[in-house]
Amino acid sequence: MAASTVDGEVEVFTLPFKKSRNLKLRSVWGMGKELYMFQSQIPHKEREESQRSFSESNIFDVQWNAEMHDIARKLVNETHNIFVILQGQVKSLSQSILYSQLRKASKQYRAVLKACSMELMQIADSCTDESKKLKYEEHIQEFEMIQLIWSLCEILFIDVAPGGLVLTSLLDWLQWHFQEGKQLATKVIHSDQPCEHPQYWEAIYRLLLQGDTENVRKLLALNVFSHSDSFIAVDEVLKKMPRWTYQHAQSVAEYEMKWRHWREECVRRYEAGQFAAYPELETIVQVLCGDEAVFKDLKDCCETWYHLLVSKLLYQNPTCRIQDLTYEIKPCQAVFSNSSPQIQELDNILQAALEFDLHQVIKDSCTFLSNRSWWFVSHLADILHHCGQLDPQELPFGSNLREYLLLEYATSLMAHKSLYQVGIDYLDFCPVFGRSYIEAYVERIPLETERKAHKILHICLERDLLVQAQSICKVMGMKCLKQERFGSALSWFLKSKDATVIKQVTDRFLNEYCEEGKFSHLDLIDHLGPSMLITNSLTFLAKYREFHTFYNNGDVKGAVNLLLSLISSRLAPKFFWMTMLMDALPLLNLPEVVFNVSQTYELLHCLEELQRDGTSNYKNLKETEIEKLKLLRIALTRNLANAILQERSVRTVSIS
Amino acid sequence: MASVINSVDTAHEDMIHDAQLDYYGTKLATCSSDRSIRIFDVTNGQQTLITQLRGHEGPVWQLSWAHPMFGNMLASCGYDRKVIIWKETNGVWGKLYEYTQHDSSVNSVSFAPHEYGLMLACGSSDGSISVITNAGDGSWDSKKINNAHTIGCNAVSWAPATAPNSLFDSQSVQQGLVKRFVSGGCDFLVKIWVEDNGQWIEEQKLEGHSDWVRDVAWAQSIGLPKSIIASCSQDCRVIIWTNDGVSNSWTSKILHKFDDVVWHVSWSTTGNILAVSGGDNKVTLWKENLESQWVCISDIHKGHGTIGERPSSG
Repeated sequence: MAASTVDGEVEVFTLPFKKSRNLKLRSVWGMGKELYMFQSQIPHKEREESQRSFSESNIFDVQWNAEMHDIARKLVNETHNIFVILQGQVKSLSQSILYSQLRKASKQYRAVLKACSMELMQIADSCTDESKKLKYEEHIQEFEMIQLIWSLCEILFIDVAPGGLVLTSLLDWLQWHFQEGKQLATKVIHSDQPCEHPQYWEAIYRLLLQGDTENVRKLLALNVFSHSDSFIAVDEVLKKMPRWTYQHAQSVAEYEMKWRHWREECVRRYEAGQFAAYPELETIVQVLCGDEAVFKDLKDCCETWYHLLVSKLLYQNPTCRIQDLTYEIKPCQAVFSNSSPQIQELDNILQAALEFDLHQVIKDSCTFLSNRSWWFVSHLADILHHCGQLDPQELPFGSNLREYLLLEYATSLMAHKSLYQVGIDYLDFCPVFGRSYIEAYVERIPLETERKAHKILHICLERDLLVQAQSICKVMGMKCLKQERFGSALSWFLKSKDATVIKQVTDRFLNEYCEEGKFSHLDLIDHLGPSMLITNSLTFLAKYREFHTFYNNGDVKGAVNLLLSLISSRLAPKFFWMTMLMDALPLLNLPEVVFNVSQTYELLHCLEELQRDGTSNYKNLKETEIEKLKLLRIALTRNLANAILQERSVRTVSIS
Repeated sequence: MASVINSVDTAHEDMIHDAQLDYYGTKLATCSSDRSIRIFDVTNGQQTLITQLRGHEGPVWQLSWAHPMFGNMLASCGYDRKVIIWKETNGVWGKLYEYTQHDSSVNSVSFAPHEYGLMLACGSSDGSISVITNAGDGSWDSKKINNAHTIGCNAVSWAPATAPNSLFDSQSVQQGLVKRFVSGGCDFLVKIWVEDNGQWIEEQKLEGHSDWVRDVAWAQSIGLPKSIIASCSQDCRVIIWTNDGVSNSWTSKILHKFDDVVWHVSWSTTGNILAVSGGDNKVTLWKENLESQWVCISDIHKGHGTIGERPSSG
C-alpha cells in the first residue's frame, strides 16, 4: 500500500474577508462537511477593550464535497438503490452468483452515470447563464472522466474476460469513449461527395484504429474508385480479418493461427504492390500488418496514448493477456508528449489501472476526483472490495479502505436537507464506525415537523438506537408541551417512557379536568394499555378514567371500589383529591347505601387530611364549592349513620 | 471543493466573539463586544433575526446551547463576570438564571452532555471553574473549583457521555456515567476534571504547552474505545492528547507547529476532523489519514474570494 492513501494536496478556499493583524478567522461546525466562518478579534492577555478594528459582521456557511449532490440528485438517489440491493446480495449470495451480481451492479452504476451526464449536457445546452453553464460543463467533463476510469477498471478488475484475453473488451471501451471516428463517418456519408470530403480518410483511419472494419468497408465502398483492383483487394483483406469471440468455441491457438495466416496474406499482398496505386490504401494495409511506423503517423487519430495502446495491440498482438498491457504503456506514452496537467492526472490514474496498482488508482482518484463528491471512489471501492481486489486488512484508523471512503461519502450527504436518509443507509454498511456515526448524526437532524420526527424515530428504532429514539421523543414531547398540545406531548413521552415528563402532562390533564370537568384526550387515555404501567401518574389517570366508565355504565359497586382504592392509594396529586371526593357525592346520595362504614371513614380521612393541610386548592375554593363541601360532609355523616345501622356495627366503632 | 451556501449578516455593531449553532444547525447565536447576543434562524439558506438579548454589561465572550430536550436554552458569559442562561418560553426569549459568583471575566461556558441533566461548566480569569446544575425543580446549584488554573482559565470542554471503556458494556453506561471535562489555562496546563461523590477532582494535569492554553476540545469518541482531546496555545502549537480507554495515561502528539498563535480548536460532529483557527488569518482542517498521521486537508483563509452559487439540476 502506498505511503499515504488518500492524501492530496491541501485544498485552499478563500473567503471575502479583510485581512487585519487584529483579527482572526473562526469557525463553527455544522452537520457533516459544513462550517460557519466568521471574523473575530484577537484577544489580549488582559482581556481589555483594545483598539477597535473594523470587522466584517457576516458569517459564511461553507460546505465542501457536496457540490455534486444538488447537480446530480438522480445519481445519488438511483445509485443508492443499486448500492443497497448489492449489499443485501453480498450477505446472501454464494461467491459465484455474487460475482455476476457485482458485474451487473458495476454496469448499472455506469449506466446511471451516463444518463446523468447526458441529462446535464441537455441542461448545459439550454442554460443561458454563462457561469452556471461553465459549472455544468466542468461536471460533465468530470463525469466523462469517471466513466472512462470506471469502465477500464471494470474490464481489468471486475468483469475480467475468460483466459485474460482482454482485447475485445478494450475495443468496446475505445468505441464507447472515443466517438469522434463514428461521428466523422456519419458526417462524411451524409455529405454530397463523400470521398471528396476533406476528412474522408481521417474517418476511415479512426474507425480502422478502433477495429471497426465494417464501417471502414462501407466508407471505402463510397469511393469513386471502389471498383478498382486495389480497393477490391483491401475490401477482401478487411473482410477476412479474423475476429476473436467467446461465443464460437474456437480455441486461442486456432484463432492465433488464423490471424497469423491472414496477416501473412496482408504482408504478401502489400509487398506485391497490390495497393501501391493509392497511398491511403497502403496506409490502411500497413495498419493491418501492424507496422510500427504507421501508428506513429496516425497518432492524432488516436488522440491519447491509451487509445494508441489498444489500437497497436489489436494489430500487433491480438491475443495479448491482461498482464501484457503493462509493457505497452511506456512506448505508447512516448509517442505523445507534453499534455496538459489535468490530462496528466487522468493519465496517471489510467496508467495505474493498467499497471494493476488499484490503491494508486483510488488514491489518485480521491485527490483528483473527490473534490465535488466522494461518490465515485466510494462506489468503485465498494465493488472492488467485494470482488476481492482490495486489501481487506484493517488500517490504523480502525477499519478498511472501503469503509473509509464510504464514511466520507455518507458524511458529505449528512448536511443535505433531504439526502441525509441516503447517508444513513450508507452508514448502515460500514461495519466498524457506521453505527456510531449514525448515533452522532441522527440526533442532530432538525425535527421541523411531526412527520419528519416520526421518520427519524423510525430510523432509530429500526437500528435499535434506543437512547437516540428516547431523546427525539423527549424533544418532540417538550415541544408539544410548550405549545400546550398535551395529547401529542403525552404520546411522544409515552414513547420515551420518561416518568418525570409524563407526570407533567398527566398533571395538566387532571388540572384541565378540575377546571372544565372533562378530559380532552379521551381516546388517548382510553387506549393506554400496558403503557399505563410506566409511571404511577399514568396508572392513576387510566384508572380514574375507568371509574368514569363504571359510573356511566351504572356499575355502582365497581365505581365505588375503584374510587376508594384510588383515594386510599394516594396516587393522585393533592389538587385532585377534592375532585375525587366530589365524585363520591352523587354515590352517597343514592337511595341505597353503597359505602360501608370503613369505606366512609376512608373518605372522611381524606377530607380531614385535605382540610388539615389547608392546601391552597382548598383555601381558594369558590363559594359554590365550599357549599359543595358542606354538602359532602353532611352526605358522609348521613351515610355513616345509615351504614352503621345497616351493619349494626355501632359497638365495634365505639370500642375502636 | 468548497462553496459558500449562505452568508448571514449579523449586524452586530462591534466585534463578534463567538457564534454557535444549536443542536440541529437551524439556529445561529452570535455574541459581540456590543454587549448583545443575537439569535438567527438559518434554515433553508435564509436568515431571520429571531431575537436580540441584552443583559451583559460588557463584551460577551462565549455562548453554549443546551440540548433541545430542555427547550430552547442558551448560556452566555462575558467580561462583566456574569454567566446568563436564557430561555425561550412561548416564543419569547428571556433571562432564566444569572450566575455572578466569579471575580473576574468569564471566558468560557459549555453545557454538559444532556445525559447529566441541565449542567454547565464555566471558566474564568479569576482562575476558577464553576459547574452549575439545575436540580430539575427550577433551583440552581453550583460547585466551584478554586485555583483551577493560576492567572486564569480560558476554555472548558466536556467529555462525551458515553464513557469510552463502557462501549462494550451497555449496562454500565446506564448506571454510572462518569462526568469529565477538560480545561485549559494561563498556567500553560491542560487539566482533566472528574466528578467523584459530588465533588470535582483534578484527575490529570497534562503538560506540553509552553505558553497560555487558549482552547481545548474533547472529541466525540466514535466507535473506538479511546478519548481524544485537542488543545491549542499561544506557543503556536496544537497538541492531540489520546487515552486508550484502558489505562489512565495520556499520550501527546504535536499536530503541527504553526507560524502564529493558535486561538481555537473544534471537532466535527463525528470527532474525526479538527478545525484549527490561527492568528494567521486561516482556518485549517486536519484529519488522521489511513496511516494515523494528522494531515491538513483543507485551508480556508481570508482574502478576496468569490462566492460561487451552486447550480442545481432541480
